[in-house]
Amino acid sequence: MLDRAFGRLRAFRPQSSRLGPGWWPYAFLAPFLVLFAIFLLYPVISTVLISFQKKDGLGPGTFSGLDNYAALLRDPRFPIAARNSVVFTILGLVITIPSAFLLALGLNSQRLRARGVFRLLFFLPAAASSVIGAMIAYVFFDRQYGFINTQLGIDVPWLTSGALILPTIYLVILWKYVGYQSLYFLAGLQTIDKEIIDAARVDGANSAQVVRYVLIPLTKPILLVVVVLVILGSVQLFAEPYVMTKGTGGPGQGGLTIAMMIWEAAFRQFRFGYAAALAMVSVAAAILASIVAVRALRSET
Amino acid sequence: MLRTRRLAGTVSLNVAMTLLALFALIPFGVALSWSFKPLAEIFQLPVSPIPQTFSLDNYTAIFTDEHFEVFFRNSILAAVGYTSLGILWCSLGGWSLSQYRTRLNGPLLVMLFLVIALPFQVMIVPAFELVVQFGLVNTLWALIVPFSASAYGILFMRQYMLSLPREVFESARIDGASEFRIWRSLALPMSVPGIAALGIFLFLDSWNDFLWPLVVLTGRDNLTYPLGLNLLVGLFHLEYGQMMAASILALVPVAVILLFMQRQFISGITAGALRR
Repeated sequence: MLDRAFGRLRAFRPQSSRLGPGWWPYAFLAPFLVLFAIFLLYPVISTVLISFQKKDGLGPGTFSGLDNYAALLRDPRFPIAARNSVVFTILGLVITIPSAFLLALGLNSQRLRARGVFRLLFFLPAAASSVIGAMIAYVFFDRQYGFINTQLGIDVPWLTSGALILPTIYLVILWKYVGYQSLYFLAGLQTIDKEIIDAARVDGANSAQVVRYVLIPLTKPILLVVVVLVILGSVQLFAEPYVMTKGTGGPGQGGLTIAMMIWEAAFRQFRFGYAAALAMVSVAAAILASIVAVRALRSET
Repeated sequence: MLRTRRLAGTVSLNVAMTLLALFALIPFGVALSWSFKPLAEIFQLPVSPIPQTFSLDNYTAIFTDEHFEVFFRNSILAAVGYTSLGILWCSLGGWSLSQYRTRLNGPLLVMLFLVIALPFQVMIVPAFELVVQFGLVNTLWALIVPFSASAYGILFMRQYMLSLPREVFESARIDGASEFRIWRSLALPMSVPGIAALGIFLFLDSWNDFLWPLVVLTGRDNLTYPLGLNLLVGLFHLEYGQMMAASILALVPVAVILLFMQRQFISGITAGALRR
């Protein structure tokens, strides 16, 4: 009774929802938008402009057309860094992603004990700072006193060979991200209706066939996201190669990445225009590669 | 027959996963082991996987080094500041995007999704110039303010707040509550699990960051912990034991968060399959 009476009373009050929220939606968004526009949107646009300028350090630059891009083509280190990024991408696509998917299958299995503990353990490397991973890599891969060589009784120049520095950095990256990526696949696998799998089983599909014809197609949206993450991540690799090569790129520049070149050009040589051009080219290439990869994967069933 | 095969499958799955987990943990084990080795033992052949003499020297060296105290405090302050601001902007903006239909919503959402995928290098040079212009170089503010408007964060909060029951807010409106009051007294308390997940994500993002601090902290004394660690490689010529002790110490906050807030943590990382 009382409730109803109050309800009626309420109905006579002026209702703010009828008037609409007014300027509130914008007020709520304002602080975010201001910072976002200043520190994200403006810098992106500014990078585009700076890439066409001769600009060495702070202060205004002068328009120089495509000079920075031309300089990039003449830079002997650019093809090395670009090749390294491509190699990191390929390793990520053919080793990290399938490993992460297999790991997710294991983590998703009802027959695995203590699944929560496993999920946590595999995630631990991703939660640690990249610098820590690189630090441990020194102790792990030191040629004379390192854990791997001394315990396995081998003599491999993990960190000091131009041919091996990239694979060694990649091992650290694999260790760090395989568990992280498997969480994406795990999230995808957990959304799959168990009845679909049971139906396939009833129809006589074995485990491998269930994976190939049911689980992989149904987790494809996740796969696309992870593929894009790997491609965009490869041009951004910085902390591991930087620390593991002490900022030099390593022997024969074997561990040089695009992000390291950009950092060096901008903050060691203060060639802002050149750094911006490098950023433009690498990001454009990565986005293009992502689009091509997503298209290719989408059309294939 | 079928049951034995099934059992064998279960056993081999558990064994294989355990082995893999060991591989994932070995580097941490090595770091822990080396951190307790005295200097003499680290460069002494044959190398033992576990310390022959157990020493706390490396930890003492880190603890008594006043630089590391500063580095640790800086990292904590920067991470707490960045996380607090990030939560504030994102819970305000995410609320707006989840509750009201304005003409801004559509284009803004598209833009946020695009920016999330953009590699950091495409904004780093002008962002540094801005930090210089605002006089924030070499201050922790440079780590706290600029990227606290996280595109990932606002999308995450929007997603979370979309799942809250709208009827509650409607009836508060009918009762005459202002929009701000509804956000403050209803939406925020109801979003605590989401805020916790975002908070962990932002905290670790800042705690582990390397490139941006390297750019804006140009001095030697006012560094963050990861930068200080990196300095250890250069200045002290690879004192492996101290490097490992310092690394283990950097892992402590991460391990604490992981252990006590595991669920929020995992959901914060994978929600929407997005990242900054």
